[in-house]
Amino acid sequence: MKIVYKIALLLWMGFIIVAAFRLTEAAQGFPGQTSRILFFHVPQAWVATLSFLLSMIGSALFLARRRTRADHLALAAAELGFVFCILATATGSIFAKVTWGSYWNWDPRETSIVLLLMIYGAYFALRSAVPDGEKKKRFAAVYAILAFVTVPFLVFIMPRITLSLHPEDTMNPVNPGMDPATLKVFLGAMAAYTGLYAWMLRLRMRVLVLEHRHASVTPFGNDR
Amino acid sequence: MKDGLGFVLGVNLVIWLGIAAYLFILDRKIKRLENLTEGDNR
Repeated sequence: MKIVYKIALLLWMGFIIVAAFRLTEAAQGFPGQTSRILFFHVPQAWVATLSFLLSMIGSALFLARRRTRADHLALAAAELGFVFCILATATGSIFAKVTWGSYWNWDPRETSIVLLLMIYGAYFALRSAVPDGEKKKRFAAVYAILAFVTVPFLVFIMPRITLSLHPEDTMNPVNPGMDPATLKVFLGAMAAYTGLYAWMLRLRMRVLVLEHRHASVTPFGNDR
Repeated sequence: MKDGLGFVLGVNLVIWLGIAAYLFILDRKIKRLENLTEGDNR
């Protein structure tokens, strides 16, 4: 990733952070300034979902072509998806404490994100448990594909078919709930987080390639 | 701007700059390792 894109991302994310506090008004119906968490919490959840999708794609590519690079994509994307899922859970809990008085309420959306963390936590447990390199990658690939089947249900469907404390959608294109300034900053935040994710994914994959290269040349390399 | 928001904005910016600095440094370290291994493989 060229240095100019990294500097642009640095400046863009900095601008978004400033804009989130200076160029937007706090939304009605939320205590104090808590609605501003929208610019951080939702992009984190979006990146987690995108990452799990990429993990599924990498896994499918690995099963189809048996390319190690596809397995690297699957693993790196699963790891980053897990990290962003934890971030989304943490920021959501902070919002929950201020808004509903408790960090955890077993709200459907809170419950579904914990289920996602457990499902993808099991992916890493599976990779650690299987010793053989090729078999490990195959098992992990199949698991990642099946794991992603749960994502649309847990992220998009389950929180909408049950009563939830979680705020109503403010991204409904039919009846938009955001004022124009908030919408622009929100979309800018989504782009910034996606760019940050792309950088982190690329870094992680380069490390996996290096580890793989090292493992291939040393007699007793530790194959992940 | 509301009281306290400036402080929160500042903290957020510091955190972001810290993360960005870390990623830049990591990028350079990985690049150095890649060049080293490419040199070894030739």
